[in-house]
Amino acid sequence: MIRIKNVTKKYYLGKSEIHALRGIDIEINEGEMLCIMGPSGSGKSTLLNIIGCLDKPDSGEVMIANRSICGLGRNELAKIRANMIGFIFQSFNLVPVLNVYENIELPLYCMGGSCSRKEKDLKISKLIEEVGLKEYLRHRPDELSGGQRQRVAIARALVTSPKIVLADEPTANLDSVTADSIVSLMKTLNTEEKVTFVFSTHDPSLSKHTTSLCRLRDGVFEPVGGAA
Amino acid sequence: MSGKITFVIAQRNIRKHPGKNFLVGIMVFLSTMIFLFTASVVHNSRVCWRDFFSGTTTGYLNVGVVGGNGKDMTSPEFRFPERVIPDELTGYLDKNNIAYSKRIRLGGIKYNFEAQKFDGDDNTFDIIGCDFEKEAANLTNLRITAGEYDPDSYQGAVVWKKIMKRYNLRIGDEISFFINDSEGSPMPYSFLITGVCENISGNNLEVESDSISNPVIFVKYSFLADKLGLENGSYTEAAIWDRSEKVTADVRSIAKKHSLEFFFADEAYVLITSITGFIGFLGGFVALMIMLIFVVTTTNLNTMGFIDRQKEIATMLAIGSRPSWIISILMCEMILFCVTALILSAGLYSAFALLAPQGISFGELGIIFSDRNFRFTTKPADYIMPAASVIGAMTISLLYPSLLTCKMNPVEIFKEGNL
Repeated sequence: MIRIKNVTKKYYLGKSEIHALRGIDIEINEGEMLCIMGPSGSGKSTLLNIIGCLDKPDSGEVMIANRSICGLGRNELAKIRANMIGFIFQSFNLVPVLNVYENIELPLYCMGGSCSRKEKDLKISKLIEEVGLKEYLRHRPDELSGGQRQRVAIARALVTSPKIVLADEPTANLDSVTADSIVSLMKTLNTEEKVTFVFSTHDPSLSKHTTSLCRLRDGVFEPVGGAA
Repeated sequence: MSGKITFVIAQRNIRKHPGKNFLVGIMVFLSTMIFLFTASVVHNSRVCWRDFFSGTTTGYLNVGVVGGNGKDMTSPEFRFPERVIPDELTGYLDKNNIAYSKRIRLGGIKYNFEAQKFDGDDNTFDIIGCDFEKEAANLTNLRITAGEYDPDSYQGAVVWKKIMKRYNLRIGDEISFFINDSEGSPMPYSFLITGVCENISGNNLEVESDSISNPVIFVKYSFLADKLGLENGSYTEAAIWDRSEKVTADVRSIAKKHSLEFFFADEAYVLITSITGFIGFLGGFVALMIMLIFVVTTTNLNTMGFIDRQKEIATMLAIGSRPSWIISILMCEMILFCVTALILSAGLYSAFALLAPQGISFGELGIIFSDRNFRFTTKPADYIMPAASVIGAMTISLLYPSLLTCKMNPVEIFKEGNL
């Protein structure tokens, strides 16, 4: 599903050069639930951004569904993001003026296509039920708790039936119980919908839900004992 | 992208950022009001003078055989006219029953036979030969203040009041002029003053100035026709009172075809043309400045609003929205509240027009409108200009936020958000 070969990425912070990724190689299979762990500044977010077509590597190759994304333009990358990738952000990033239903519906507009109103309603209702927010359909994000917001973000990420869902520290802003329930939910959806999940976290306890695990430090993978 | 979601996001964002949008709305409101008011001032200054001279001397439209600056009635033509108004124009006016008057206009230099010299420096006048009785029906702002028009007097003349005052003339006096004949030799001719005339209302600047804005003497058509040797009712000037745009266009076209001089009433006097021209220029300048201020202020407010919403925009881009859709949301927001503000300001202005149909007096400043009341003009064209300007300025003000949207990298925005 995802193949990354010898990817490097560096940033400039003022005059200093920061090597976020130093020749990363990884292959993520369809239906996998991969957890990327590592301390702050290890390159987790950079890796997820590159996989998510939000950022481009300085060198190396990134293949998504057997298609290289390195030479693609902004609009083509936007199209891949809209059709193939779902995003879950650490700080939820819901559109504040839209209610729960509309936030979940938004990616369907980005995707285009000819999904009828009825099909949309069915899809969104099913997802809302799955994430347990049936009673909050018309609530705005500022009327929801952190856990509820992240559930909306998960439903939003899944509404287009993407092949890959990327979650950058989805539990960082949540308490441990809510964090556990969010990762459990992701695991359930991974199992039921066969969606590939890649998420980053600081919290080792969450790795129990994943099918595979890798550790990043200073832009390179560290060997791990194996999947939990 | 669906128009519905674009509209929903736009209208909710307007409500979410009331401060910024209120300020832009105020800018639209003020700009529109200033645009409309300026348009009214420019329009009033021209129309008031046009009305004044139309009913006092020249007719609404005036077509003459003299070319160049001969239309300036403070600088008359002293040569014998070499041609007359062509039959095509007469035929058009007669066929369409258009209210007009056949005139012979001639310049004259005031001559004092007793002193054997020309009188004073500013001694040139327009002498209009016409059927004064018929003409009086159209010269609705002209009145005879002393004496009368004597139709039986071959050499009788009705003289403008200020001319009488300047030369200390009385009714019954003779007034003499010189004109160059066809060979260029000076030829004297005299009239007997039977009446004195002046305008009924309005101000033709004579009070404020030494110059005479209406240096006119009305005499009999037959006298001047005989003097100039014009036959078969030929005439050298047509004063037309019809105000329809079609007649104006047709007459202008015939005048152009025959190289005749065509002008509106207010264009007959250099001083008035300068005033209305300057007000027009000033109006244009004010409108341009307002538009520039609007563009700069709105760009600033839009950019601030954009920065305020960067994360939301970055999220939409991250989940696959195209920059063009984000720009269409920004555009939709601007259109929504700009149109609302435009409608409000145009409505308020129209309300002024409805509540004050008689117009408002500008006191001493009213001189720019010939001392007539200022009226709020409500022609569709007056509304189109501010609407087009505001929408144009609004679009320009969106260019910078649109550029920022196209260049935005969501990753950078999310990083800043996490700092």
